[in-house]
Amino acid sequence: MNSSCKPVEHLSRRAFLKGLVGTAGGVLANWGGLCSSAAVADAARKQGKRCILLWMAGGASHLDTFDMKPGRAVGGPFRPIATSVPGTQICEYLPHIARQTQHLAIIRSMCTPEPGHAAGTYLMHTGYRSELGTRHPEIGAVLAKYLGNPTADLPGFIQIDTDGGESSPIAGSGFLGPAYQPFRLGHGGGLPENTQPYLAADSNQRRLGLLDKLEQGFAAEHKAVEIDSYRAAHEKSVRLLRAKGAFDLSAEWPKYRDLYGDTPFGKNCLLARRLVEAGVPFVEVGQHNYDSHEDNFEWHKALLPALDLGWSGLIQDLHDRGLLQDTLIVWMGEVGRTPWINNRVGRDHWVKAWTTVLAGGGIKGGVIYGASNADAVEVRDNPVSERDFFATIYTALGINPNAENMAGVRPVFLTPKGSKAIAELLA
Amino acid sequence: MNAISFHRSAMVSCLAIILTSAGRAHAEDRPLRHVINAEIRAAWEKQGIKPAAQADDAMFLRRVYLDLAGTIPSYEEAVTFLKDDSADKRSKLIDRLLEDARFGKHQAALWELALLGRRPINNPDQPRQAFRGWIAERINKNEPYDRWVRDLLRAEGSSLDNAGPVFYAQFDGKPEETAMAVSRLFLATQIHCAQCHMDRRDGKWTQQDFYGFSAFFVRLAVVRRTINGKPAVEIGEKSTGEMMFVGPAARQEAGKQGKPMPPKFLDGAALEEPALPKDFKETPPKEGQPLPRPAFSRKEKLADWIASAENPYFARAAVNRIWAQLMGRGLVNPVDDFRDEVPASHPQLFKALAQQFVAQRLDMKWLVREIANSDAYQLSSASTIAEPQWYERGRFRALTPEEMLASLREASGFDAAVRASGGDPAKAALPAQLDFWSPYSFTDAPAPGGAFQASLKERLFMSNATRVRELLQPRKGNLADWLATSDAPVEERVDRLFLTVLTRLPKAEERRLFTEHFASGADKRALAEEAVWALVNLSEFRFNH
Amino acid sequence: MTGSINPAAAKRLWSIPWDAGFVTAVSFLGSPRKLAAGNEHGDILLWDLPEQPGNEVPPPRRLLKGHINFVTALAVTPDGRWLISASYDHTVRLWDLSAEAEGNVAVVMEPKQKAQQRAGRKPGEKPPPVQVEQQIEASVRTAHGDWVRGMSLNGDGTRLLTGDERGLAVLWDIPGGKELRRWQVPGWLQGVALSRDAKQMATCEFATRYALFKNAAKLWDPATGEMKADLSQPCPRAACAGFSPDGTLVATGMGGEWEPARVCIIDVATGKKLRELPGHKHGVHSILFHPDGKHLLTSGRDTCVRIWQIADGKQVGVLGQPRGGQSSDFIYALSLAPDDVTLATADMGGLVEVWSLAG
Repeated sequence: MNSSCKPVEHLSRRAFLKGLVGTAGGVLANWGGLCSSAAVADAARKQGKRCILLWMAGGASHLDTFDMKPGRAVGGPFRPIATSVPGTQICEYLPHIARQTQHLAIIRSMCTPEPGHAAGTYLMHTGYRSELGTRHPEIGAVLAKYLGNPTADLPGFIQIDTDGGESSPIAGSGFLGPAYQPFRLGHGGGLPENTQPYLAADSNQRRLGLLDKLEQGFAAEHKAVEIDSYRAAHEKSVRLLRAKGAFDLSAEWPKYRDLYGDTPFGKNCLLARRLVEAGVPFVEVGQHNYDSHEDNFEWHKALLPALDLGWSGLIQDLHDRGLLQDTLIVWMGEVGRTPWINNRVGRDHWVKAWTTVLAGGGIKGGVIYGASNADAVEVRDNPVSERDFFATIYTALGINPNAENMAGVRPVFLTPKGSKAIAELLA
Repeated sequence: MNAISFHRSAMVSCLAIILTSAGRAHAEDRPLRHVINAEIRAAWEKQGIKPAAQADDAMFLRRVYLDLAGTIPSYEEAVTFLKDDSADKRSKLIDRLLEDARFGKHQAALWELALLGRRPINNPDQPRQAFRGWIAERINKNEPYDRWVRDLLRAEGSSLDNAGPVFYAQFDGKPEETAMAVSRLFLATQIHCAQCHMDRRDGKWTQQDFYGFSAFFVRLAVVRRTINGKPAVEIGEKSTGEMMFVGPAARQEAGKQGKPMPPKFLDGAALEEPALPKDFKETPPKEGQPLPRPAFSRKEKLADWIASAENPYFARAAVNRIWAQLMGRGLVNPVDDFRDEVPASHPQLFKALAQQFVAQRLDMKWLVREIANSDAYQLSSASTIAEPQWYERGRFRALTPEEMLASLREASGFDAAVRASGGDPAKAALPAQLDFWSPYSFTDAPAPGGAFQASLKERLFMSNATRVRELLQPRKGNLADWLATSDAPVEERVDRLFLTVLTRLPKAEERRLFTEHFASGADKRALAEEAVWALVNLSEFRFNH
Repeated sequence: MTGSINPAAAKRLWSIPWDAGFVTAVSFLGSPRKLAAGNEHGDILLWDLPEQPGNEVPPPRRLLKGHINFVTALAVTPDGRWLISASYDHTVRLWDLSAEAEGNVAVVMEPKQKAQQRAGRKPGEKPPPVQVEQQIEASVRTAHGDWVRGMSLNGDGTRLLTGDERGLAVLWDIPGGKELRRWQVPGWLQGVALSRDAKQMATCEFATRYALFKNAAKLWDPATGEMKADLSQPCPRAACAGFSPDGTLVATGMGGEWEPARVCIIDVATGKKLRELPGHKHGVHSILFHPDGKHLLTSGRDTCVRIWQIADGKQVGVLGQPRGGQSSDFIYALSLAPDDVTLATADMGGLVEVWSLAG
């Protein structure tokens, strides 16, 4: 099975024999100096947008979902069906999404540089390639900062079932600092474990008071990023208890089970709706696992029904609640998959032409942007890099992609310089 | 054999380069600890950095116990050390801890984490205790690093009492996976990219290199047997079997024939293998008999080549890893990925460490002793520098799950409670339900670059899990119980509380704070539980610093 | 005319390349010299093989056009008249092999570049197509709503069992042209089996990963429709099944890619596992009891056909060798001719191979 490939850095054989060494460098990180990003954040927060990322861990096959190639040797045994958008066809195993296609913007011309899992996951979560000395924040941390309410009880960046697979955690909050760390729930979603206090209020107060005073004394003599991270987590653990009801599905599940599909993924999609409804700016829901180097069609046939119901249920539910225009749903994995089918009836990684899908908040629905060539080997029209993709997402959410944050002494933009939002995708 | 002598000639030129480019005079003549001090200081001067002061006794005590024994010291051990006023008490403590059985156990836990990772425990292929026990024994006997690694890679015997079979069993007989892990762990060389990439001409690892190296492992078989009624794993090696190469993994088309790749060491030298007789037949394994040995063992040749003082990457990978264990960050970071573009932060120091380690015949205790006795190791962590880059202060290193469990056990007074109920602490294990801290359910990987990112889940666990409460709340004999029921004066109780949990005396304001707390009039047991809880949840407890 | 097999002396008679795609199904047509094979695109080709094996690879004589997706299984009635095929296109089709052809069509046997090189042609030069007759099906059965993966014909060709990935199994009366009974199970029916006398029936519900159902293997009574035994415990991950000639034993093969695949032999009357055969490196796709009642043939994802002795579970023969480095190629299907010694395999390398088991 493939693992991450960093084409840039290899140990050469020459160096192995000679043992070359040199000098090092390093970058200090201070936590997100506000600079011009404060104004950006204020403006963004006023618009009240939210984002849900449906993360297809392992890399779903676009040839077997949204960029079908019927009749071609690369096409495989899945067949396309018509959708609610005339002329647009998607896979037969996404029938409910086919009825929601008028809300979707399907980008068939993604072209990105990282074919490996860890590097690709980092890329598609941060919009940046991994660089030595810079810890980029994931999109969730960025949205927690720019769209979130710093005094809210629920974390601003929640990941559900994104553990498992090959990169965990991915990049976290990077140079934005521990205040925007991801809060991660495992496969079961649901109520986070250990959110039931066992002490009476006065006893709890006393022990927290001791803790806080001692920490203050310690902090007076010790500065360390690790301490900041640890303390931030503690603060959140206290606040989370006040808001944990948002994680409890028991009241709503009987009513929504059929809409979202009675699967763990379906439950997590309902949870995502509840969390964004409660004001959480970013929720990521993972589905495992699409890394189908073998039995590509069996794996997709097994996974797509849960995706179909969960995702379409989410769109429908948000739409019915009047939340869809303010909630951007992103569907993607870290890579696409090869057109040719290997000798394990699998597809390997392919990033020269693949597909991502946007829906809701700020995005024009019923659009197909870009195209791959006849066998999906390359992009034919309108290639989209990860930087333009992220610029589009941030713009749709009301955030200027050129906002700066400080990574140590260096300003880093939300998306790399030169990124451009794609106007045809914005509503 | 031929591969090693070929390698030796290349290696001779390598050593020559090292020696001539060593700027400081005769690095290998001075005690390593002095070289460490000099090089670290030189880098500070060059960077214009003012380092922290030396750590005080309490800080040093806690740090060296965690690093060498994997646990905080007991109250008695702390008091003994802090009261001792001999000038050489620190180096004596280091010597004592190196001879403590806990040293090998702690090292074994660290090596287990590196070599096996946090895979689930209920795998009969991987009896973790036997694995750790084997390594702990070797390290406590101070067997040279190359000797036990070579024995590990030779993987003789069964998993019931040997680490080698357990190591190989995790790769399930897949030569590519084995090759990637062996080169990463023991040579800090990552070759995984070469598995898929087409051949390149610019000196980087090619697919031929990758498959040539994998060929060392293609004849290995993970054989599952029952020995004395217990499931066990042995590693068999056949006399035949080739690595078939068909080109890039992403282009595996149906119907393609592969061509056999002969084994090739990573430096390019081919392995010379005797030809098999024409009508050679493999000997099948027999029930109840040891596995047959192959006519020619690629595995042995590989083990000899890797675990050799003459393999320049072997010694470097080892010293870098051990340096990182003690100092919190390798001279090359991360420790399993030596890359051209990421050279060591202190190149001369790195060379000296590797050279002297080799000169001392890869003596691990010697290396640990030298590092622990250096000024750099004994720097205080109290400073205003948020992220040190040049070892200018002691680093904050999150305790591993093993260290947390051991330290929580010590801090809570668990053993004393076991004794008070008539049990034997040596036979008593912590409640299995402390599963958040169980090493095998602890999957939070360090963030990229090794930076610590605290987990909200962990804080919720420590704050609200009843299992944690059961450990800390008063139980006859434990710390909270003593705090609640002792009639010692309150100052003494506060002192003992701090010495037991934080390995130091309280500051004046802390003593005041807790005196007020215990005098507050609420239920004594509740007050005791709250006090213990507060201290084990401090940053000060959570980190080695 | 039957013969006894001599696994150690087995030899390959023909290697017929059909590189248009994976060859996914194969069946002899009532004689050891008449062969049909299906591929992943839905094409079915028929060959008449010469009496004597030689280097001449015979061209196909007829294309059966109808399916529009993977052909998963082929079976022929004992009289050699009716060919039955199942497919991912949700249909089961019956073909009248005695019917006249309807027109000609050009079939390119080896469209891939490498095949050209193998044939010594210059790259870039397209191989000339072969003209073959074509025929359409006599009838289409559309009972199924999903991929029809499992199919089994009984000894006299009157009963057919088919199973799909929506969990629907259908027992058909072939001469009467009607359904006899249906079963609905929760999982994907990747394998179904009917005993020779059609009195026993086995189903295998299997997905390698991520499906929302539990893998299962079950024995049923076709006459009453009731489940007779749940074999899911003794036979985990069963993806295919087959009955012994006398119907007293059933064997299941494990599916999946990476895990070693074991074959389980079960006593039908008691439901107890008699034996487990290790030895396939990757998943098993086909299981076939030899009519001699003493041997079992299995094949699958390690490109080998393995021949086993039922009495002691020993492997007494291996046909073929794993190809390639990272993985082997699948053998998708096996078929044994009525002479009991001629065997055909269909593999994803685009080959139909014919072997003699008698040496």
